[in-house]
This record gives sequence, C-alpha cells and structure tokens, in this order.
Amino acid sequence: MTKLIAFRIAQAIPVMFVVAVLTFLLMHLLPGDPATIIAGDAADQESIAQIRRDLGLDQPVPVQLWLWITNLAQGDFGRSLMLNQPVAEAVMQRLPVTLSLAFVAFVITIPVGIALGVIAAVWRDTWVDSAVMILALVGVSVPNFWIAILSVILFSVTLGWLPSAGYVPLHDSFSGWLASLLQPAVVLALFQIGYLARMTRSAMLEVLDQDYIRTARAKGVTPMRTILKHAFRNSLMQVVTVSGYILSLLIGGSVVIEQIFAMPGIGRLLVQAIMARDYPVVQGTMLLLGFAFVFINIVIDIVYAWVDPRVRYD
Amino acid sequence: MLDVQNLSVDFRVDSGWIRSVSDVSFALPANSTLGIVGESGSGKSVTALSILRLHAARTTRMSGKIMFDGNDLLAMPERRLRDLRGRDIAMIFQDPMHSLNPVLTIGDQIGETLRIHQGLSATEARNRAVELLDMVRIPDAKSRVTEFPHRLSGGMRQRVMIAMAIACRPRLLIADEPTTALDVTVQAQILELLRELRQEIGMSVILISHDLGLVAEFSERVIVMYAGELVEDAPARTVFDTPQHPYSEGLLRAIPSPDEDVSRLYAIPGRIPDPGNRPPGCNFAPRCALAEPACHAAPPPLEAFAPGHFIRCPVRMKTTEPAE
Amino acid sequence: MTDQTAIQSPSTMTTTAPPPMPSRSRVLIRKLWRHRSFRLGAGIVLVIVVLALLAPFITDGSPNKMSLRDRFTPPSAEHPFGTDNFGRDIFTRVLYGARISLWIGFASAMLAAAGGAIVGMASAWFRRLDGIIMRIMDALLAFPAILLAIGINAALGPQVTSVIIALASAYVPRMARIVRAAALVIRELDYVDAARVSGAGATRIIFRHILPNCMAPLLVSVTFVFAYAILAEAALSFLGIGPPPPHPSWGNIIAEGRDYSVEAWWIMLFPGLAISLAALGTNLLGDGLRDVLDPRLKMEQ
Repeated sequence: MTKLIAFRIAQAIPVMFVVAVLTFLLMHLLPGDPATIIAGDAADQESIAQIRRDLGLDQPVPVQLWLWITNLAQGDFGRSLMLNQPVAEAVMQRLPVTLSLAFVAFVITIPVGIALGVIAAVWRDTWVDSAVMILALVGVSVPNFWIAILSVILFSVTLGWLPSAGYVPLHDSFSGWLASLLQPAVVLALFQIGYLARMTRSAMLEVLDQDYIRTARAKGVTPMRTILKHAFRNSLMQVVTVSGYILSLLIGGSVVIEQIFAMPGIGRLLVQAIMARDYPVVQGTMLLLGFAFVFINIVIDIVYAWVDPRVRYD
Repeated sequence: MLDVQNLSVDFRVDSGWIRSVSDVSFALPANSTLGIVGESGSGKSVTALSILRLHAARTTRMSGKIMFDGNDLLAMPERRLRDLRGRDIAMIFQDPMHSLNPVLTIGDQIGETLRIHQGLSATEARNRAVELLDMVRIPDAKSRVTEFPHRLSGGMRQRVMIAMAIACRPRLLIADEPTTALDVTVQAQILELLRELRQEIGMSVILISHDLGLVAEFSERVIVMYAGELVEDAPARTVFDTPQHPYSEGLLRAIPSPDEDVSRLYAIPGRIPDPGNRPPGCNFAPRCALAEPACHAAPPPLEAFAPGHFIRCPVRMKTTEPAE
Repeated sequence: MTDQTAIQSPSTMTTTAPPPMPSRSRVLIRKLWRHRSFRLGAGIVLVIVVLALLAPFITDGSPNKMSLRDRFTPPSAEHPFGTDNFGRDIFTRVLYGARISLWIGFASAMLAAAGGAIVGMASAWFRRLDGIIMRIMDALLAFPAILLAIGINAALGPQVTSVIIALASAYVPRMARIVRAAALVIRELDYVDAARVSGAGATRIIFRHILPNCMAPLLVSVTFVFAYAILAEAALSFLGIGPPPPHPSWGNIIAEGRDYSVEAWWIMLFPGLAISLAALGTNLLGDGLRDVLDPRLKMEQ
C-alpha cells in the first residue's frame, strides 16, 4: 500500500512537469505576440517593449522555459498584471470559493447519482429504469449555465427562496455559506448526477451478471442484501474510479457557474484574466488547476486500492 | 426426496423464446448420488440451476414440477424457496475463480450462510467457518478465514465453495462441473472430498459433468442429456459398461484412457444443434451412425429398455436385446 | 431504456427457411434502425440539421436585422420565439445559430477524431514515442475538457476557428487513447504480422488493418464529443470567449439575453432549448451506436 502511494506520486511527477511545460507553451507557441496582445490595440512600441521586458519575453524561448520551471520550483507562479499581486496569492484567495462550490456539488452528486444508478439497475427495464435513464440523459444534455439562469429566475427572483448571487465565507456563517452555495451547487451537480447514474447503472448490471451473485442467491441471500452487500461493493470500485473524474469536472464546471452567481472563485478570476489579457494569471491558474487535478487522481487511485482487496493486499 | 417431473426451460432471446431443456424427468432418493452427463449445451447445467430457480427470472420460463419433500419448488413463493436455498439444497459451481465474491473475506462468505439460516452472530459464524474450512481440509484454517479469495489457488477456492455449501448440512448438494476448471490431481482430491463429506453428512449429491467416466465412478445412477433432452437413464455401471444410446457410447469412447495415444482421442463428429435450430426428428440423428430415415422424421420417445434403464433410441430398442 | 430492443412475437422464430446471410453492414443498419433511442436521436438531429440548412428559406435570411420598434416582443405569430433588445427575431437567430453551433460541434469532433487517430496511431506504432506521447496525453486528460478549451481559446482569441481548434484539442487525448488501445491490440494480431512480412508498408497496414478496426469506438466517441462540443461552445460563448457577438451562436444569444432573463425570458429560453435538444438527440444517437457497434465499450464520456 505504501509502495503503491509512493509509486503513484513518482508517476505524477513527470505528468506535473508536462503540465508545467504545456501551460508555458500554451502562451508562447500560439500565434501572436503576447506582449502586443497584453498591451492592447492602442499601445505604443514603448509600452510593448516594457511589457516584454517585464515578462522576460525578450529572452530566447528555452531560457524563458527554464526560468518558468525554476521559478515554479521555488513557488513563484508569476505576477498578475491587473491585480498587481503574485498569481499564487490571487489564486489562493479565491480557491476556497471554488473548492466549497465543487465540494458541496460533489457531496450532492455522489449519493444521488449512485442511488439513481442502483435503483435503475435493480429495476432494469421497468418504468423506474426508463425514468432514471431519461432523467440522466436530459441531465447530460442541458447546458448548466442555462439551467442556472432559469433556476435563478424561479428560486431567487420569483420565489425569493435563495440568494441569486454572491458568496458567504464559511467562517462568517455556516448557514449563509450553505445558502449561498446551495443553488449553484445543485445546478452544477445535475450534469454529473446524470453521468454518475449511468455509470453506476452499467457497473451494477455488469456485477449483477457475475457468478458470485448467483452464488449469493444459491445461499439464500435476500435480493436486497445481494444488491447492497454483494453487488454494490463490487460496482463501487468502478464508481470510485469515475468519482475523481467527476470532481475534476465539477471544478471545471464551476468556472461557468461562478460567472452566473457572481462568486469570487478561480473561474471568475480566470475569465477576468482572459478578458484583461492578464496572461500570467491565465497561465498560473491553469497550472495550479492542473496540479490539483493530478493530485485528485492520485487520491482516487489510493482510495481505489483501499476499496479493492485485490490491490490492497498485494 | 427430489422428483423432477416434465421440466422444460425456455429462455428469452431477441426473436422470442427458445427451448433449452425439454421434458426432463428424474428422481433422486434421500442419501443417494446422481450424475448428469452431456456436452456443453446439453442442458445439464440449466436443469441444475432450475432446481434452485437461479435463472434470471425475467428471461426464463419454466414448466413442469420439481418436487422436494412433497413441495413444488417451481410453484413455491420466492421467499419460501430462499429459506431452502443454502439450508436444504446447496450448490457449487464450475468456476471457483468467479463464484466467490472478490471483495469479501472467505470467512464472511461462509459465515453468511449460517447467519442467514441459523441466525448465528458474527463471532459464532466466524468460528463455524474455521471448523468448516478444517472440514474441507484447508490447512491453517484459523488464519485463512480472513483471506480474500484471490489469495487462494483454484483448488482451495473450490474447497471454500464446498465449505460454504455444506455449512448448514444440506440434504441435497448440486455440484455443477465442480472440477472442470481444475487440474487433474486437484480434481481427484475434490471428488474424494465430496465423497467423504457425503458420507459424513449423509446428503444426496447431484454431480454434473461432461466426463462420463468421472460421473459413473461417483454416482449410483446416471442420466445422459443431449440437446436439452434426457437420452439415457440407467444405473451408473450400466451406462459405463453397456450404454445403449449411441450418444452415450460416443461419450464413453471420448474418455481418454491412460494406455491410449492421446492424439487419437475420439470425438463425436458434428456439433450439438443450436437450441433455436433443432432438427425435426431425433436431436442426435444428424450425428448418429445408426440413424434411419424414421429417426429424421419424428422425435423418438424415451422408452424402457430394461427395468430401470431408459433410452431415447427406437433403433436400439428394436435391434438390441437387453444383456443379462 | 437504451439497451433493450423490442421483443418480437415468438412466432417469428418458427420461420422454416432461414433468410440468406445478409452483409455485415446491412445487419448493422437494421440493428440500428430497430434501436429505439437511435431512431429518436437520429430523427431529432436530422430535423435540426435540415432546419439549419433551410434557414435562409424559412426566415427572411437576416439574423442580425435590428428593428427598434419591435424590441422585446414576446413570442407571437410574427415572431414565434419573440425578439431581443435590438428587435432581432429570435427564431431567425436560433436557426442561424444552429448553423454555427452545429458546425463548431461537427468540425471539432472531426478534428478531434483525426488528431486522436494520428496521435494514437503514432503512439502505438513508434514504441519509443509512446511513453512521451502518453505522458502528454495524461497531462492533458487531467484537465476537464471545458477548462482546456477555455485555456487554449484564451490564447487563440475569440474566433470560430479558434473555438473549433480549442474544443478539438481538448478531446484529442480521449480519442488518442481509444485509437491507441485498438491499434495496440491489432498490432499484435497475426494478420498484421503477415502483412508486415509480405512487405506492406506502415501506411498500408495502418489504413488497411488498424484504422478500419478502430472505426467503431471512434465513431461512437465522435458522436459523444459532438454533443459535448455543442454544450462547450455554448459555455465558451456564454463566458464571452466564443465566436464574437454579432454571430448568432446559441451560446451568444443566451449570453445577450441573460440581462433581460426576467422580463424577456424568451430570448434565452429558446436557444437553450435548441442546445438541449441538439445535445439530447446526439446523445441518444450515440447510445444507439454504442449499443450496436461496440457493446463492450464503457461509457467514457
């Protein structure tokens, strides 16, 4: 088990390195001169040259890459142009918002998605199954920002039940925090619930077809116990594998949702930075998110190993 | 004790229902052994699974009667049947690799039967599981009981399956190809174990296999199945020494004997017909050396060839006198 | 609901003579046709595509024509979907938006498939590159597609082509994995060896043997990427980094209507329905394709 964790972390290092190089290249090898783009259309040669010097763009690309990587290794992710503060600091200030949103959405997605999937599998080919699958299909087909707007019209504007915008930090008020997150998190979760329900259903159906399920039935185990103890634990392994992916997707989706609910998270920062052509922030945000996703994958691998005895004890 | 009467099993496929087992009848007294032989696709496993109604209900249709202690298992409500499963009738399967749940310890899986049927506590069940592992000759049972199935060899896993099956001392054990997935030496050990346990517990055993030699050696009575039908039903010695149905003869010739060249191993020509595409006459006629025009025309009945010996072959019925 | 075809009456199995063996592709087409969700999905997609193509004939052909007199008209006979803050007809804009959104979805799915095929094939064929390529793909796969698309699009600037390139690049890794897996399996098969021994070049082996064999999983993924690209394009446009505003893409119309979503709900309602319907149709179609072409394929995206 410890060996596995060490192995996964060792495996993640080259991936993180590649992420770092890719985020660097993203801003350098694509068409256009970043300095000109940053300076805007109205800028004169002088200020463009200044920006170029500030960002080290006057250096040859390999040197720039070397500087980028060595700075990263020292925790220096660059400096924001619009905010005039270090990128890492700007990201860290907004991280709790995005993580709170993704976390609450995750906490909603996992039980609901799994429950729907199990229900659909148990009552397969009945109207229950059809209803869940139609719901899941609609969930993955409807744009979440559109649902978010409709939801605001209904729950915030018309009914006035929930705040339509803003974020209350957890340390200010728990209920305020939850109220501010509830609507965006549910909207964000919808898409993933559908995906997870479909995954869980197909995993369950596969497991229910296995010989050991027949063995359990031959022992006289009740259908409910067969499903919960014998089938579900096995399908859980596939569910664990996708749950990391789901968490990543939730973080990605929050970029859009934060925009609608005016939540000061990383997504909002990213979009503002793109609009303001603050590309150190774009670069740094992408990089930190990339690292976060790699980290999530490691955690999921470890959880998976812990759930599956075949991996746990070997 | 067990009396199967006119059992037929249909499976649902894309284009409708397909008859897998048709009109099979046999009986099994208490404390006896029965072998069921046939190639894969002969319907022997389907028949076995029907006894405990383990087929997927939504795609299976069964007719006939399966009387167990005077109650029809096919007509019994699922809830009552569940009480019988694992307690009075137990079953072990062909593939011990996949028949054990990979995420539960073997102690847990053995103990579960006891907890369901005898209401044992977790600790009691665990202790009984250790005893049962001892009974099926698993060394070091005390530490093995917390192992997961993937840590055991194929033979050990089948022993675990047997321990699970005999936990409640059932009166009938159905062993569906219990040794097919194992290598030869392990096969012999498992059969020996089954034989001993049968004596010890005093249960009846139905042994299902494609290997006529193995079945004949183990059981008192043997039925031979082909394409979903019973084609011969006789005492084991008779089937082994003087089989009458040409298919049984073929199975017998297909058994490799130690002094024969393996490369010249006999195989019955042709293949078993698809359940959806069976011939109009005798199912075996297309592969049969004795087939006459009449065999291809109409399905032959199962007839008494001698007292206690039934065959489904009109040609043999008229050409051969019972040996005595 | 997706994996069970209708059961026919038992009488069909008693037909005496089996029909002559039909070709593989005809069997597949018949199976697809019998698949309920495929039929429904294909129908929806077909209707949307036809409406998009016929847009100039159904409408007056000017999605950007303003009419200040007609601002914020609710849905009526004259303006079935109402008008927006500039008095532009939403119905016309949605139909023209279909052209842009479907084109972006289609082009990025195709580009992703082509890119994935090249990368996956290269990875499977040149074993020495495999490690590096797959590490790069792993790194890209760590990002949710929408974020990757946002990042790439941020660099390329807001244009239709850059949206296509961004969305396609975001899905290349997924496609590459599928092709690589298929190619690795096929590479080891005897007939590829035989082809190699007989002197067939790599190109020939790739096009004759490997590519046809990854077609099924690739096609299934293309449909799902198409659905997802339509949604992602809408999200990008909504964030203001999609095709620039006068273009009536579905996401743009919603973004522009957002400020009036309470008073003039129709502006954002109809393009949203259009997106949902298009994505739903494509997903249904993809489900059908997966069930028929590649039953073992797990739901990957």
